[in-house]
Amino acid sequence: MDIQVLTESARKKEALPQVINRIFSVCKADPHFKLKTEVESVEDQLKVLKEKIAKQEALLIKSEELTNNVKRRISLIQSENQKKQVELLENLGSEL
Amino acid sequence: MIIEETNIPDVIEENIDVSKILLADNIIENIYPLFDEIYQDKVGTLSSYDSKYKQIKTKVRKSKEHLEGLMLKLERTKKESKLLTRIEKLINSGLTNDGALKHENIILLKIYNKLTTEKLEEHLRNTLKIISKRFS
Repeated sequence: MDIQVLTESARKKEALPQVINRIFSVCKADPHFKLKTEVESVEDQLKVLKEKIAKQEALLIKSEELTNNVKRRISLIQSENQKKQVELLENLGSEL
Repeated sequence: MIIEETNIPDVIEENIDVSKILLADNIIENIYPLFDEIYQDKVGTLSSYDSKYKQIKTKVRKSKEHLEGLMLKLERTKKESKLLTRIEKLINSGLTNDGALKHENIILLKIYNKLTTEKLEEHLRNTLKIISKRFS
């Protein structure tokens, strides 16, 4: 008896993929199933958006690096200019 | 074995087509809310990513504007540096021994960083002209 139940259960399990395929074949013909396409479309849009965000984030990181670099250069040149200004004024017998 | 009672009629040879349709309708009825739930969930996620994208775009735009401002400041600082180098050249070549030019350069050295960019460029041209004359 137990063997018969197990055999029956195994046979049902084997048939399961076929049943699911049939279910999807039936569902595809239903107008409600268009939501599946819409879900896929939203997923595609989401993927594109994620890529765009990643690009903007990378751009922001680069921009911050560049900003810091430019700030450093300005500060360095300004400090050199200040030093030179004092030296030149001294050379001309004046001061700030 | 547990037998669950449903309103799906037992399949007999006469009503097999009706049974198929009933089963399909039943499946669709159960699957549709699932898709709807998934769809609404995805639309919500899309909307939140869209606002995140707009926020980051604004940040990038502001950062770009800030950087453009800094680049102008860098250019200005470089011009100031160039003017100082030219004044240094004037002093080293003895051109500032003349009283008027010496006085002019002292004033220029004191106010060069407060000049407008146009005035700064004018002084750059003038100092270059004097140096060129001296070394020609």
